[in-house]
Amino acid sequence: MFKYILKRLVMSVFILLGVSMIIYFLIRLMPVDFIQDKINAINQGGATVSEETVNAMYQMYGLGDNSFWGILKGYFSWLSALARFDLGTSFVYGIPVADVIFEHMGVSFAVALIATVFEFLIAIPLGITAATHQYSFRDYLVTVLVMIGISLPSFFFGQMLKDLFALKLGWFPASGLVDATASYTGIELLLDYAKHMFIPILTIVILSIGARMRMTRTNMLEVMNSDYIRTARAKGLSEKVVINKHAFRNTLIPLVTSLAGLLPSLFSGAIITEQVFDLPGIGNIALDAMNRGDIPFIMGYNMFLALLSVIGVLLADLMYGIVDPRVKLE
Amino acid sequence: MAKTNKNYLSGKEIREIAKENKKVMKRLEAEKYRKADESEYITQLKNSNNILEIDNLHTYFFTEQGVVKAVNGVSFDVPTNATVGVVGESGCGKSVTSMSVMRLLQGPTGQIYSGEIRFKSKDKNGAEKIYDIAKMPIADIHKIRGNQIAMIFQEPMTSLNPVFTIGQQLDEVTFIHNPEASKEDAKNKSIEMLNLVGIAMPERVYNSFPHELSGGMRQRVMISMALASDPRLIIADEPTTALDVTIQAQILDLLRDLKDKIDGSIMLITHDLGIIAEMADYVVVMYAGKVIEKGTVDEIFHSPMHPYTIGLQKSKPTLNSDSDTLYNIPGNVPNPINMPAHCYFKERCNKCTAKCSGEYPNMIQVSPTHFVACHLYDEEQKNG
Repeated sequence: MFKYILKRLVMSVFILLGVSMIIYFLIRLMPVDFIQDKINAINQGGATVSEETVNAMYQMYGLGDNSFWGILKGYFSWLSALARFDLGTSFVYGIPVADVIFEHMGVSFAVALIATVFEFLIAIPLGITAATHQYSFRDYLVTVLVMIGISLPSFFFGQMLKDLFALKLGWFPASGLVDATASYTGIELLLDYAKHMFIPILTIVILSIGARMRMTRTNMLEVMNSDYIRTARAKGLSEKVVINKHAFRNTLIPLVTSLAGLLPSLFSGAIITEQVFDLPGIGNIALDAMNRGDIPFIMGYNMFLALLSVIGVLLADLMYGIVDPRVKLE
Repeated sequence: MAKTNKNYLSGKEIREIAKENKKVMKRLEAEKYRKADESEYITQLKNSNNILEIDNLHTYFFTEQGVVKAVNGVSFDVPTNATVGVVGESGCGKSVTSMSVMRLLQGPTGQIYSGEIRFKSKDKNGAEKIYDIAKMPIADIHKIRGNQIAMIFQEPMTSLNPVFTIGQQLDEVTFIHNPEASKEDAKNKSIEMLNLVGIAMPERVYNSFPHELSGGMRQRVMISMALASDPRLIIADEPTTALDVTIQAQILDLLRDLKDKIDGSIMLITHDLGIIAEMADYVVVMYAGKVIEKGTVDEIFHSPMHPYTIGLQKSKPTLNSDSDTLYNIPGNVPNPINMPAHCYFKERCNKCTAKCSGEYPNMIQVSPTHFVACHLYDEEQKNG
């Protein structure tokens, strides 16, 4: 088992190297130029920037040579800095990338974690009832409702909820993370956070329940039609035990593995939802960085997610070995 | 729906079928899940020597194409301490009959439409009661299912839950019947059962997962699971179909021994006439959802009367035959939806008479134990 994990981790290093190279080349080929935007801004202010200063700036940011070898050189200088655990300095914020990520990740992580917990708590029982009462009114009702959820775009639905709860009813604040007019501390601050995060979380939960519920329902139906469920019934077990023990334990296999695969999405931030509610989460920041060509941040952010994805896949495989006795990891 | 040989249905017809099905299914489902007093399904046996009497059982599947009458008026008895073999080709309704007895039909499409399944139940104190299983609400079925009637399925490879050990699955049976049993009691009982079915290393098998066992071992585990509840009737639904021939023989020996040990009855469902000849005391031959002939094993094998039974006997491979090809009954089973009004075997029968185009033949008694449903023997009934 230990050998298996070690082997997978060594393999992950190569995967991450490949991923980082692809991302770096793609970013460098993106039609955004941080320096040019900066100079344009200065020019608009009325000042002029000399040719030498511009060239010096390109050299300083390491973006001077846009040929293949130039980009490759840039990649290796990024990589050598990474080897010293240095993700570089964000162009936009002027502080280390790692600091930017950690500063904004908390909000996104809190929102994603709470939303995921509720998503599973609601979607799994719904999926099971829909499956055990297949083709009944209950099944159709649940299926139709979650299909509506899947079909709604988050920018529209988020805006709708915001309009209803924040603007019309005034129960919750419309945007941001803290009430700027008050200076709360301790429990009160936490409550204020909760108030601000309520609608974003509600939006994400409603929109994501559908997929999870459909997955549970399909799995459950497959399991309920299997021979061993018939055996369990023939043994004389009550329907409750048949569903909650024999069937659920088997439905759990794909659910648990999908849970481990969720790891990167817990940290990536919900880009659109964060935009709609103006939350200072990492998704919001990442989109901004992308638009402005903040190469070190984009690299750092994407590599962070790539690392989490690789770990997530490894975790999913390990979980598989735990929940399904037929799977042996070697 | 006047034409019967149509291969497609119009949208209107599909909607009509769905509407009618829904009405019936809803009523039957409601009956299945109703709460009922025991007196509603207590009945009397016709012959007190029987343990199970299936009387005019109709089990239907309400599909989108129409109603499939998988079991269409089946009647036969299982006497105490006897083995009754049910034979017939694939799709003739033998498995559905057993599923009906166990009330394991997959709802809401599969339903017992009418008929009685009378079972002589005996509780722990030895008090006998006759239950009509077909009318029992599903909530009360635990009085019988897995308790007095146990079932062995034809698919040992998939019939065990892959995520629990053999021990966990066997212990469960003990706990159902004796909730106060301690863990050790349950384990001892499970290992005793594994020993009984001839598993060499019961301790090791007890801790194994199903995928670690071979097909024959799994079928033994299935049998031990059926036995753990001390049943009075075992329904074995093609218990050896998925196994190779040497294991088949072992499993059959095992079943025969067990019948004496548990002092109960076996209802053996198979399409293998060899197994029937070896195991059964009585034989029921089914065709297209109906019983066409039933009698003792001697009568069916030595003086078969229905042309279908005769055909079945002929299609059995024999060693001392000169022919290279196996005899087969020409034609196919009729479409289960829209069955004809006349004898279902008419199109394939080589002894067809003018009478066969008339109504479906009645069961004719030709000896105290031998019954056949064929117009060829109508005369005998009149004479006798």
